[in-house]
Amino acid sequence: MLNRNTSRRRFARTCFVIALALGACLDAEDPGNLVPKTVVEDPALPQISIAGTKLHAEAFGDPAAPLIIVLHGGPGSDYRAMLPLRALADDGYRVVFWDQRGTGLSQRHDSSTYALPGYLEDLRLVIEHYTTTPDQPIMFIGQSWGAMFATWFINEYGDYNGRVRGAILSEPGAFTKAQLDVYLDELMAAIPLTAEQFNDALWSRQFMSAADHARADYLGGLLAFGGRPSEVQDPNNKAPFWRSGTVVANSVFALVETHGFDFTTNLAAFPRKVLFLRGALNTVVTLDHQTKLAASYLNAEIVTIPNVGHEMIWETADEYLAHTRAYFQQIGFTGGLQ
Amino acid sequence: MNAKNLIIAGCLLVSLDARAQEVNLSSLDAEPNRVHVTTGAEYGFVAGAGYSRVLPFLDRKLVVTGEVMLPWAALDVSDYRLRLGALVPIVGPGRWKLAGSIAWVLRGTESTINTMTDVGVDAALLGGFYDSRWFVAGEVGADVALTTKITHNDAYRETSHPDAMDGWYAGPGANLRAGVQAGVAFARYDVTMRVGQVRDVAGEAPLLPFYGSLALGARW
Repeated sequence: MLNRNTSRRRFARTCFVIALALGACLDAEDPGNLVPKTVVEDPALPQISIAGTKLHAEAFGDPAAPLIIVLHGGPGSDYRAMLPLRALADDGYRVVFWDQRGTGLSQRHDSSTYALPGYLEDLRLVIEHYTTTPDQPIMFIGQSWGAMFATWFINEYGDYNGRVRGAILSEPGAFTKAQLDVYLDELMAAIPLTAEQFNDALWSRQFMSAADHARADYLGGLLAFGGRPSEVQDPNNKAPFWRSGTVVANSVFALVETHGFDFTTNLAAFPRKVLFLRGALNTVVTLDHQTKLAASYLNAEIVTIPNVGHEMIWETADEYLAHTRAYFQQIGFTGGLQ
Repeated sequence: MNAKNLIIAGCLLVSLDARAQEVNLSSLDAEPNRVHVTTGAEYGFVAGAGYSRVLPFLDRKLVVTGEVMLPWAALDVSDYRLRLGALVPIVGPGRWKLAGSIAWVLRGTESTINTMTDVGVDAALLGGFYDSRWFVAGEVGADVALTTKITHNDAYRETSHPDAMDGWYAGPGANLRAGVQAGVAFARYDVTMRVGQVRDVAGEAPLLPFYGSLALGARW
């Protein structure tokens, strides 16, 4: 009996120690532990509400000045590495940054809530949110997926009643589903199976599951950190980001896989000149690749920035801004009050 | 290589491991010692080696197991998995048998954003037809990360999240698996294979949604 009581006490003590230890543990789901808080978790963050969601968004410059709508990549990235474009506010523009639905510091949603028409409508509603006059000019600056997103809008809405004066498209991957398939094949082929980061991402799935948005975004960030090999990022000047949107990224890819897309059907009717800016070091988004995409526009120019890859806005901000200003001047998109 | 990695590398070099989950349950009355080497894909391309010992346990046989596994595609001794456990036949006096296994798991990794060390438990049920020369069986199992210590590196703090919390995280994840395994014996040597699918606790497929391995073992 004594031995049995002793065993029970030991067992109870062990259970207590384990419970105490686990109780002192952190919770991966708690906001801010693994990834930054969203606008829902930290209401002090700059935000706007549209179409049933809260978007992390901020704008710089005079509200009545011509709008520059900045579109980040992904889908599932955020605008942090595009913040050097804020300098354009000093030139007399209203520069609008926003994390697209479900990514960056914007509100998270279940995958079942995403639909392609709604995703496009978000962009239109963001434009309208920041519009102060009915004929306020608009310019898109989109990187990667953001450049595809801008093209999607232009294909759908044309120049939006004369308001869209142009677009700067930095390394869009594809304008059609067929182009996307080729692009993704080349992108994946450029990732060696023996790459350390890729294998670390595989191995890490034993340590953590993507059971909620925080963990899914954290694991997604592990894979995306530093970019893909073909994008040739500067290891000494890594492009910053807040937080991946893993669920929305997977959802949008699943939607385009299911429904397909073609953003080129009306592009030839877009009367404005479009500037393609690409980094010379990117091994997948080559000059030939961008030339094929640019052919869908009536009037497009391609400029290659030397000695930089995909993250040209962050890594060579001055040169990117110089090309941007030259383009604005060329097409007559002038800053200041309209 | 820092001191921690040297210690881990040393442990791996001297470790005697085995793989209780690929045992022919009809051969437990024969040789009590087993070693094997294995390679395959399981959360990455992996290779391992091991030792197991068959012990009497009440009126049954107990296979005590130790295992070490390293991903080899990008060999880095910061990435490792150590497993210590046991397998015991539950029912099946004939050639149809059912067995259960449970193992403690210690694993580590160092990535571009963090260093993680995890303590977990792996439990499995195996059932199938076990002849003395060959076997084929089904396998279902759960690999649960009980607690994971995460230390974020400077790059992650500078580039993404300065306030990321370091420490032990409780119950950060689990993966379920289901598959088949089969093996044949030649004298005192065994060739075994496993294939199956993996889903995380949320029902989603992880980056590598399957596992598969080929093992060569010897008994004495």
